Amino acid sequence: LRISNRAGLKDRNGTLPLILTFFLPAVLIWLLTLVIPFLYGIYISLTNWNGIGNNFGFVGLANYVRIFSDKNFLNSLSRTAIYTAGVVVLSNVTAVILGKLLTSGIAGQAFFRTAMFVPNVIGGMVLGYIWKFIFNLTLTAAAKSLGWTAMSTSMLSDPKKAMAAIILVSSWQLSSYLMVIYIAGFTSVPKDLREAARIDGCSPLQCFRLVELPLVRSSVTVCIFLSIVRSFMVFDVNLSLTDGGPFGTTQLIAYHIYNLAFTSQKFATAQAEAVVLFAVVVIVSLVQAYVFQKREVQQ
Amino acid sequence: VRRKTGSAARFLLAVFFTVIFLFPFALMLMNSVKTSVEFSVNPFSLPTALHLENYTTAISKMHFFRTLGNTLVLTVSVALVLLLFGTMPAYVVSRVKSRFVSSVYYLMIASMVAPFQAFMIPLVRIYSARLGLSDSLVPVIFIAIGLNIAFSVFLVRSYLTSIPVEIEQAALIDGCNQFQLFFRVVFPMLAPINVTLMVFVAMGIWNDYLLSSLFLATQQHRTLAMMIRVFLSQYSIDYAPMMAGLILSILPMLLFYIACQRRILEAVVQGSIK
Repeated sequence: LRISNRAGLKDRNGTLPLILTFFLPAVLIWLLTLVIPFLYGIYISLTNWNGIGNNFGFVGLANYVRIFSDKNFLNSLSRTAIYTAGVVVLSNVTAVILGKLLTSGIAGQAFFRTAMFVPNVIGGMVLGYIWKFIFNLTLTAAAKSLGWTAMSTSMLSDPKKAMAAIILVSSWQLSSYLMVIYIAGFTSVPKDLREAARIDGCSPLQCFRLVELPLVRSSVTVCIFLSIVRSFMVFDVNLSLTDGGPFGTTQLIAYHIYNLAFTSQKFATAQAEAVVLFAVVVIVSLVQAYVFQKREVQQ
Repeated sequence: VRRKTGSAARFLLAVFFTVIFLFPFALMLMNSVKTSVEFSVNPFSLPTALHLENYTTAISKMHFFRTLGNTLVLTVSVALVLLLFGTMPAYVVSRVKSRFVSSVYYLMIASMVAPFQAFMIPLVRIYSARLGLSDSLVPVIFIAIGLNIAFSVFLVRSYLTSIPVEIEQAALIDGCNQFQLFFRVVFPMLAPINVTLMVFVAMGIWNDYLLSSLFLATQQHRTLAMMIRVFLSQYSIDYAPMMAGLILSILPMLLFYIACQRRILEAVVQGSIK
């Protein structure tokens, strides 16, 4: 341990006591709740533990071999990919529009920002239930009274529409979260730059695409990354809005893992799936970090 | 003139989006004071009388005040512990030059991307099966602290690097020791970022369902997110009290948001730039 001081503070008592009292307790909790469970999880995924008792053996990579030929797992992964693609596109497009709209200097801008953010202070569990009522009882009632037969049965009872419904609800919530990040991005674009581009003959759309969007690139990267990672891990809304149904057609990966472990008691297999989910998220983050760095260098 | 119509159109578009984001809550609120029959006949009709008995039913069936208390205890204790366990390590990371400290810090940052599912099963196995800590808020509080440490340290550290060390040097010359220096000089300077940290952590913990549901089995320990699920699946025909229950579980967070909305919007920006 090298004890010196980067900040150049005159070191009176040495920094070792500081590390011991300020740093290590937090590190210990982090190890006990995150690092050790994670490593233990990798071990569990290599066994045939069923959740009860301590009688289990080491089975090597058997669980991994099995899950990659398991239709239920592969289906929930591809479903999650579809869901993620839908949410990432829908929420980011909406958020950019909102971000632009609420930095354009309209009256009541601050109020609109505050009001639109409300869905994000409420948890996914409650939001899912609220929307379940809307889809099942209010939208159908509205459709019936207006005579729209196509909408008179709930979206949640049809497999394809149910997937659309969960994408809509998640994007509805996420877009106003991302909006706040885009607002910060658009606000940081110098005003004279936009005016200069206008004078040079840019149309508003060109001005947006060629001048502003490149300048808020870091917001775009952050938002896309955030929406991908969040979508891959979605659980609460999945549970409360569709409960994986109808017929398991909206069971996304996190919910699938949860069910496999706590309903079917296949803990070791579920843990192997969790490790795969972890790997997917890590790969996405690395790609994102790489792309981000490359763009930074270009600028 | 074109400019004026343009800004009027933008204003109307903003109103339209606001309606999209808020109408579900308005609908719930409206139907929470109607009877279940009125709701089933027409969910869009205005209430004819205030049926507040829906709220009393929801309060008693959800054991609302006990549930609210549990959620508060959980949220406040996690947030308060992180006030120390976020700032103290961050101080060490930003002010002490040590290869050990910086290596651990980078590992912590890296661990932030891991999805909760990766340690969900082992956590249950270790804390509930092995240590017997099931059906109590204690493991939930402990694990929630652990899972938020990396983010907290990261957030505070980035703020600390922008504070000039000259103030600390002056305090050292005046005879402070390292600990006095932290608690009397540095910690007060961290107030803005600490508020951000508290707000961000509190929102996450308050709304958490999954972690709590893994450890809290019996009714007397349930949090709001868990209780609303139980309540809604137990009483499946009588809709009006359910609406009241949903409104009740939204209310505390909504009041919190109204009280410190500016901080929350700032926290979103600061917290997302990783």
